[in-house]
Amino acid sequence: MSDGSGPKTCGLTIVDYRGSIVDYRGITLLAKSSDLIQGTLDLLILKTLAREPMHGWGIAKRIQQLSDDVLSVGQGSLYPALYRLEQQGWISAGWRDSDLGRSAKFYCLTREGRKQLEAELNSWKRLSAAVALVIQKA
Amino acid sequence: MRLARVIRQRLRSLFGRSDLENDLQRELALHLEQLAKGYRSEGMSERDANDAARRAFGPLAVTAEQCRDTRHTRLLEDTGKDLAYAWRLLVKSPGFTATAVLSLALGVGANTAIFALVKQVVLDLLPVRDPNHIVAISKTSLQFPEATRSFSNPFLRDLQTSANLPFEGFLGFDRWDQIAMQAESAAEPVSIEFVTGNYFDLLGVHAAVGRLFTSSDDRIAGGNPVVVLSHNFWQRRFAAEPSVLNRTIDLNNHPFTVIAVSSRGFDGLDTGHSPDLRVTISMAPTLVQFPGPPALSNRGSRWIQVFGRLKPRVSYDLAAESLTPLLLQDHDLDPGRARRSEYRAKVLASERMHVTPAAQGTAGQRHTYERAIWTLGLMVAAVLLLACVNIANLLLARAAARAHEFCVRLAIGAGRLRLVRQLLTESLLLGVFGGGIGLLVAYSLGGILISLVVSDRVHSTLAVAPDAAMLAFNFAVALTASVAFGLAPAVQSSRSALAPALNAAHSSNLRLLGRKIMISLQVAISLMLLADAGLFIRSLNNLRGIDVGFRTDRLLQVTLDPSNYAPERLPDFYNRLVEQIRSLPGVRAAAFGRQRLVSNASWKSGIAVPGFTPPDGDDGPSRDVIGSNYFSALGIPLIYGREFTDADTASAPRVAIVNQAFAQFYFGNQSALGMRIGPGGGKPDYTIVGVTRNAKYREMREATTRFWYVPFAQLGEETSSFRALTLFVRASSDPNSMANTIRAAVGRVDKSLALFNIKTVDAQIGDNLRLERALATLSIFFGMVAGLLAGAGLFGVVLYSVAQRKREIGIRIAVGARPAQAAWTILGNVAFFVLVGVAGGIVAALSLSSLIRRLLFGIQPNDPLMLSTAVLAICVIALLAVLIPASRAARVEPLTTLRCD
Repeated sequence: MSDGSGPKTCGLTIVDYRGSIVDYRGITLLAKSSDLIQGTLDLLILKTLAREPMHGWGIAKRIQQLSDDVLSVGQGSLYPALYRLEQQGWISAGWRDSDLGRSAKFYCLTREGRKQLEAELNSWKRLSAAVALVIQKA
Repeated sequence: MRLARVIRQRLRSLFGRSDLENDLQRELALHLEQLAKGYRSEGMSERDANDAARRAFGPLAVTAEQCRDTRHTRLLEDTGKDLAYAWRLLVKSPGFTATAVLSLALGVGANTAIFALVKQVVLDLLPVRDPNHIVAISKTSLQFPEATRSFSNPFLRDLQTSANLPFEGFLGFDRWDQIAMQAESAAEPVSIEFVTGNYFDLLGVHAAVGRLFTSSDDRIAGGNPVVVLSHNFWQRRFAAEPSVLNRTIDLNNHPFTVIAVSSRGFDGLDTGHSPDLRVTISMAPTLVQFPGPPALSNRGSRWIQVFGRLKPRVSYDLAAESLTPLLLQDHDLDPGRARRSEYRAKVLASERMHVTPAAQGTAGQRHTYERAIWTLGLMVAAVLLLACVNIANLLLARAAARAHEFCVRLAIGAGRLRLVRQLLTESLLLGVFGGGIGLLVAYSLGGILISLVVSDRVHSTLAVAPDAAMLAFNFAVALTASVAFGLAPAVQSSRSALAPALNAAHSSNLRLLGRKIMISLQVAISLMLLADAGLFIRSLNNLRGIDVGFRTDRLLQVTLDPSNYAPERLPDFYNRLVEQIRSLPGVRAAAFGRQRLVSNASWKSGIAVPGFTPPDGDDGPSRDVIGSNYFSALGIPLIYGREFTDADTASAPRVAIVNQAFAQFYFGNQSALGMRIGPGGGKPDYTIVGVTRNAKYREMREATTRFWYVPFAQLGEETSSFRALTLFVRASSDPNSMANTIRAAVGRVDKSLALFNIKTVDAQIGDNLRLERALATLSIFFGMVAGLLAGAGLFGVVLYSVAQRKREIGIRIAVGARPAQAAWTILGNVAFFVLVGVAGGIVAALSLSSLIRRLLFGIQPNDPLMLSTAVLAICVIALLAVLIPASRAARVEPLTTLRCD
């Protein structure tokens, strides 16, 4: 992807000298390549919670189901991500009685979380479109 | 909204930690349980399902740790834990804690006390509006190259009324301390400041009560008897009652109305002195007698200090130049213009005006105290350094004992920075305690310092008031010191290798190098402080030993001001008074004169000696007026001739007495008896009838001064100007108990008379030497503290060294070394560093000698005797310090040491 050509050439995304990915308007889509994974997980969690509040186990199960068992979220990354999102105020948590036979910690999306979800969806669409473009043309 | 949520999260992270922990554990446990349920449903046994669940989950502890990390409160929690641990450690070793905290408190407190003084004397600006625009007006000339600051009232008015000057205004003030305030039945002395009407307005000072002076209050001479009290005086004397407004106060038997009290914290422009009352300059002639023509219109009578407020962005040189036309005008308007000598004309032509910044008021206090305070500041900084070095040594010793603990922590994964952070937290905790106690030390030390240095506590503005700057400085110093002494041990401890056993065998000489260098530093600093202490003590003794030329024992001097007596009645009045006093029991002798002795008072009026032309620029002799039997009362020996007696009245032939220096200067080897002299510009009709031995008149350090005396009765038309005289009483027993008797005796003659400054001459001399005494006392104290700290440091290092090298000493004794030789193996090494310290101390003392040269009297800063005494003292301290460890080294049993290792 390190094309090195000027900004306006054929609307391609550019990888600048720091390894971050920007689109032809210069808007940063991803700051570091490792952020790709973290950002995607956040997106998945937020989208899952957009439908209804859910506990951690439920979120993991849902993502696995919906992706036809392709994506299996490791517990080691799920819970830190949930805690991080809660710290940032995108989701809020509360203990409720659950279908598991005991009370569980349910997470739900906040209003700001919904807006963040929109923003993340847009970035994701742009990124995946750009990647698809490169793959098509390369 | 999101912000509120985030804040709430942060607060929960800080304060609801146990709840959050529980939440986390429950959540993760739930997840694990679900995984296990899934595996069980596939047919595994319970135990296998649990194990599989754990394997599938991954590292539980790491996940939990990562969740905790997202809370971003790590630093705070860790610091909290470090503090709790440090507190427990300090409590467990009370000896170490007490030593460290107390030595730190002493160092920090002493520095804070000196800082409080530095702030008041050197840094603080006047509490007025825009102090940076306040300037002092002064004048230099050929004759007086050091600026003169006193101007005449007409010149001041010229300045005030002149237009087109780059000044917003001028004010004038003068302090007068011998005013009697008559209240109830007794008269008490007060300190007054004469000020211009625009004084308060120009400075921007407000009234606490009432309304302050305006320019119209100052217009008519003697026409406006109003007075403004200072806030201190109002609190002290009138208990801050608002009813004091419009009350009438009698000053020198003239009624004045109180119209205001100035605001709290304003003490005037005369730094270090807070006057009690302020009166307009126009009222000055009513209260005080000025010699010669009326003071308010006399251009030759220069007694007012002038300050101005400069317009913004005007340079000082420009301002000074703008005043030159007024100066020249003043020269032209001087009535004595015609009689001017050529020299005087030259002097006048050389006069220049100067405008100097005066945001801190007059420079008097600063000049007196500045050098001494900086010297003290260096001393206390040195003491703090010593204390820090000692505490660092203590910490290093403790860290060596805790090496095992650090190794374990490093092994399980703590970073070096984490260890350093913890050790620094321990040092900072010590610093906080040291700083807290240091504040108390500062307060008491500051009080002691001020009482040592200031003689008139009532009117002095120096105080130890804990304010924000002092607190900030105190804790800043404490925390910086704790970082300074904590850093090296912290860094060294975190470097602990993971195999400490190996270290015991390798030479520990290098490991102690840092501590031995610190020994040299401590020895050098202690040597400097001890040498300085010796110098200050010798200097004080030299001053005390000065021969003042008269007998000072049990001699009281009292100033009187019979302001409502007609001039002709005064000689009679004083003679009668002295007779009364002489007849009192317990009085050996009494006399009166004008000038107080060794009180910085001097009076010159020129001299007319027929046939003698004084060299250019000669100031003339000092003079005094006295009563009968003055010299025998004071114990000044008469070398030739006779004393004044009661027969030397106004109608008798005029006589004078001179001192040896006078006779030598004006008459050479000729006898002075029978020669005629007179005041400058007057008739020489005083015949010299006596010659006395030289004495110290104004202050103890003055050079030999020419002096001449005239009987009070024969003063002539100037008598009216000299109402206030000084009574000298030599008591046969305790002079302080005479004070009341004298007061009663004076009261019997006239009840409305106030007595000022009843003080023995010994006490006066003691006051003059206050600063030197303070320096000597404090430098001894700090020198001893320094010596103690250095000794303790040396003791610690040698003790540790012996403990470390026990095996080596054991081996040496086993192969035949004598105990003394064994001890020397340790001491020899340390002795080298002590000698290096001594050499360094001598070099440092010599290079700093220029700083203290001006504080000494009669002794040079690099006096070899003092230096050698100090070196000797250090060696004695060092010997005492190493005595115990050395004897321990000598007594080492080779068998025991070699066996137990």
